[in-house]
This record gives sequence, C-alpha cells and structure tokens, in this order.
Amino acid sequence: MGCIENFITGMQPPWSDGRFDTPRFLEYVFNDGKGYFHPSAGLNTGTAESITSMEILMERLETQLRAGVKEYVESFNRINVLPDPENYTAPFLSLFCKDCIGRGLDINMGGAVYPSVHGAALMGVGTMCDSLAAVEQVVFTHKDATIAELVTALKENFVGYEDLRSKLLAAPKYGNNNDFADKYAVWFVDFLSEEFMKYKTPDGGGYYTAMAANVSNIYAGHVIGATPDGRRASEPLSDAASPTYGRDTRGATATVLSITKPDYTKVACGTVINQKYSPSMFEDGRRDKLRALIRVYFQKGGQEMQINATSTEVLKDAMDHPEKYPDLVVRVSGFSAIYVTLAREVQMDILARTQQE
Amino acid sequence: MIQLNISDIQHFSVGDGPGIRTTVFLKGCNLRCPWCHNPETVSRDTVTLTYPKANKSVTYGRSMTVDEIVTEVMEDADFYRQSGGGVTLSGGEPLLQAEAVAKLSQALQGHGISVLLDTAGCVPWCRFEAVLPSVDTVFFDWKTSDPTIMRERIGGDLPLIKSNLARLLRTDKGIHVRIPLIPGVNTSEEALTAIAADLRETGAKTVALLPFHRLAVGKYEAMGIPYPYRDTPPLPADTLRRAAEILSPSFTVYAEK
Repeated sequence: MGCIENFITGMQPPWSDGRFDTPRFLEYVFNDGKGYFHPSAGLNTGTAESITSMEILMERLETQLRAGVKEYVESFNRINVLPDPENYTAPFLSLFCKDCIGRGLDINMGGAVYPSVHGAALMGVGTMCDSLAAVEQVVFTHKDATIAELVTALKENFVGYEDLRSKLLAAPKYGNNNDFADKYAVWFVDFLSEEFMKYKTPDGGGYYTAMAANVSNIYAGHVIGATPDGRRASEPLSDAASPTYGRDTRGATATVLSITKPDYTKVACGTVINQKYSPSMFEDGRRDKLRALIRVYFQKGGQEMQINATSTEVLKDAMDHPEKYPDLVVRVSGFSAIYVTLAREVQMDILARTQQE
Repeated sequence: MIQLNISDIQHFSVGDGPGIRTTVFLKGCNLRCPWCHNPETVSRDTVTLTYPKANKSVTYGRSMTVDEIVTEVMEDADFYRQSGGGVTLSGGEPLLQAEAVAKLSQALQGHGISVLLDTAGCVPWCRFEAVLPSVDTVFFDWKTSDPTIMRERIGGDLPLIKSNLARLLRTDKGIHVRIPLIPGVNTSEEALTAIAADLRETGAKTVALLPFHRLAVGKYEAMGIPYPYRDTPPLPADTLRRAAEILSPSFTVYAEK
C-alpha cells in the first residue's frame, strides 16, 4: 500500500502522491520569478536588490510557495479525476476495504469509507534550511556579501566565488541541533503542510504532505542551479526529511534532535529519514545503544528511520566490482533495492550519506 | 570562572563506556605513549590538523567554562536516560585539570548524569580524591609492568600508578582496569605474566583487553609528525587470544573491539 504512508487500515483508498521540489522557489525569489535553467516560472516578486532583510525574503518565499502549492494542486486535480472504471479497478484491494461491497463500488471509485487522500512529498528540507541559514548569517548578520553578489555567485555556480562559498558552507547546518538552522525546518514543515491542507481532492478528501523523496531528489536537483547552502548546480537536493548528507557532523544524537524539531503530526502522509551506520553498530554491546537512539527518535515524534549498515568501503567496492556483489541489498528510502542495479547517481547518493559512528 | 582546556566534545560516543555517551576530551597529557590514539590531545597547546586532500583543517584546543560544557552535554540527556549512558571524561589526562574536572563532574552529578573518568593514573592521589566523589566509574589504563619501559618510553611512574590503582580498588566505585595490547610493549608471555602479578597485588578482579589498531595514522599525518606505529599491523587475533589465556587464571577477562 506504500512505503512511508500512514494508513487507516481497511477504511481508505491508497494514497496518491507527487513530488514538490522546494529550492526552485528560492530561485524565483532571487530572480523575480525566473529560474536559472528550470523551464517553469514563478511570480514576479521583485529583484534581488530589493530584498533588504530576512523578513522580506521569507515573505516573498512564502508568496512563491503559496502559488506553487496552488499550481501543484490544480494540475493534480485536473488529471486525477475518477479513474477509468474499465482499466483502473482494484478488485482484490477492494475486498479488504469497508464499504466497497456494501456500496458496490471499487476502492478507487468511492467504495472506501474515507475519500481519496493525496500526499505531496516535500523535497529539499535540508537544502532549503541550510540555504536560508546561510543567507541569514552571511548576507544579513555578518554582511560578508550583498544579496546581489550572492545571486551572481549562484548564477556563476560559485566559479570565481570560492571565498563566498566557504563562508556559506561555514554557516550553521540542519542536523546539528543548532536552532539557527533548525528553525527553518520547523517553518518549512509548518508552512507547507498548512498550505497543502487548505485544498481538497476531487472527491473531498484531504491534501497532506509527506517528507520523502525516494531518489527523486537526485533528478529534481538536475534542473536547479547552485543554492546558498554551497550546493553546486545540478547536484542532488537533500533527501526526504534527512539533513544534507555530510553536513550533520555532531553525531547521531544531534541529528535526531534536529530532525525531531518540526511538528510531523502535520505531515499526515508520512516522514522518513535515511541514515547510515557502520556495521559495528550492530554487534553485541552496541546494538542496544542504536536501539536506544531509535527509541528516543520515536519518543520525540519521529515517524520512520531507514537504516543502512553496509560499510562505505563495501559500497565503493561494489560500484567498481558489481560482479562481486550480485545480492547486496541496501535501503534506498522507504524501500530496498539490489545495490549494483541502481543508477550510479543513486549509488553515489547512498554513499554520500553521513556515516554515524 | 573556572575554565577547562578542552580538545573536543564528541557526541554519540559508543566505545567509551556503557550506553550512549558524550566524551569530553581534555587537553594535555603527562605521558608520551608512542602508540597514542589521540595525539592531538597530548599537548596543552592548540593543535591544528590539516587534511590537504579534503581541503580541511581542524583545530583542537579551546577554553570552556563548566556551564558551557554542561549545557552542551545536557543536549543529549534523553539519550543517556534511555540507554543507561552518561558523560565520559577522557583525554589527554583529565586529572591534570583535577580541580576543574571535579567542578564539572559535580555539576553533572547535580543533573543526575553518570560520569565516567578515563585515566592513566600517573598523578598524585590527591587528584583522585578531588574527583572521585562525583564520579561513578573509572577506566584505569594499565600499560606495562616493566618499570624501564614505563620510565623511558612512556615517561610514567609505575609505583605511583600501582599504588593509585590499589587505593581505587578499595573504594566503592566501579573500577575497570583496561590493558591496551601493544605489539613490542606488553604482548609477550613475560610482559603479561608480570602485569598479572602486579594487578593481583592491587586487588583487581577483572581486566579488559584493548587490542592495538592504527586508526590514528591519519591524525599523525595531519599533524605532520612521525607515527612510530605507522607500519604496525592491527593486533593478530591469536595474540589477543593468547593474552586472554595468560590472564584468565587470575582475572575475569573481557576483550574489546
């Protein structure tokens, strides 16, 4: 029925879902509605020079996102009219769902007790959070660069702006239990979840959010220019609810403390973080410590943690010698896959995950 | 305001005692073990490690107040509670800053946090007296029972270390004797037999064996100083097993990873 979705068993049709990439909207804010090379466009909210404070930036970002959410919902509702009863029925699923038999209707056509629900998977929380924290620190607090200089550096993909990029990289990052960065994750989840909840599906069900990407963060990143967190153009966006890989450097406890700050009760569809631990964490004497870490994660409102325990060395070796690892299974996100069958960039993304202990 | 000279604070430490811990590494050591795994903590002065390939440098050594340290380690209080963990005071030799370390461990004790002291024990007994009341557990390194190696290669005082351990073992604290098994220092039958004799006299009942590994190679390179153990392979499993056999008639032996 899904991989991360919260479910009212036997009462609802399967979630429909889509991906909502967020850093694109920051490009619109910096370029009066245009992306660097993304084909779509946002609203005309003004030039970069007229962003004179963090408050103005956030206000314009919310305006862009609000329009983006509306566009997403309208386009989804246009294509998601009731499915074709000849070709899109699910009789087997319908058998296990109230009240399909009573109503004489398929689960996807109004048979289920509850109407259809949609989960918009928000992509790039780490990228956005780190970008906003970097702009706040470098442009508005330390005043090390003007907003116009920053935007030029982003357009140039930091070529010739390595010094500015180092300063952006030095700003606090999501995943280190630092409120300066983490407050933007709290905002991200609150603002976007509430925005989506304003809408209804065609049969009156709810629009909700999910914190997931299932590798779409890699492909979404292809068409997004450099971002103020120091990410270069076309690199992957941060994955699911996880911090940007390699940026959470204060240990697994700090990572858990950061990622449990947002209120995920608003993310009705589901939330996943992807973590990588060294295989030694699963040996006697250490396994209990990992279990305790996961317990605290759930106590603090976490929903799902996907764990890989294959060492970095093995993953690297498997990329070079796939014939040696025909059955190496890894957790990708809400699902598992045979590592050597994954696209190289997905392999790279898994490899890049911060290895905790 | 009492300041501590800190090398680093490491969250989610899973190899420095029970449960999930935060390890506070104190700067400065009075011994010079040539196999040291934490060379950046030895000097009291600031040390910068540079990693040219990663285009990165990390500086170790900063002054922090007791309150600042407590605030930082208390971030993980929920993890200590869930896992039976706490705070480990390591180094360097934490007892070189015994007075300040005592203030820190008292403050942690006041927050209900279990404190573990990791020491090589080559300090006057009064330093232990200052810290012990607010410490639950002590990891006590026993490196060698050869007075010449101790004096000339490590720079320590074997009789002082031995008398400190004997006194510690008469307290009600959890005292864990740990032997780092170092090729060429203490892995021969004679060396281990001598260690067993010394430890029996102190009253030790259990020992933990920590086999040598050379994970510190990168740190020495980044510090630009030679590492005498650069080419020494990790301790063979056979040597570890043999050491356990020699010690097990006298002690309960644990082998760590």
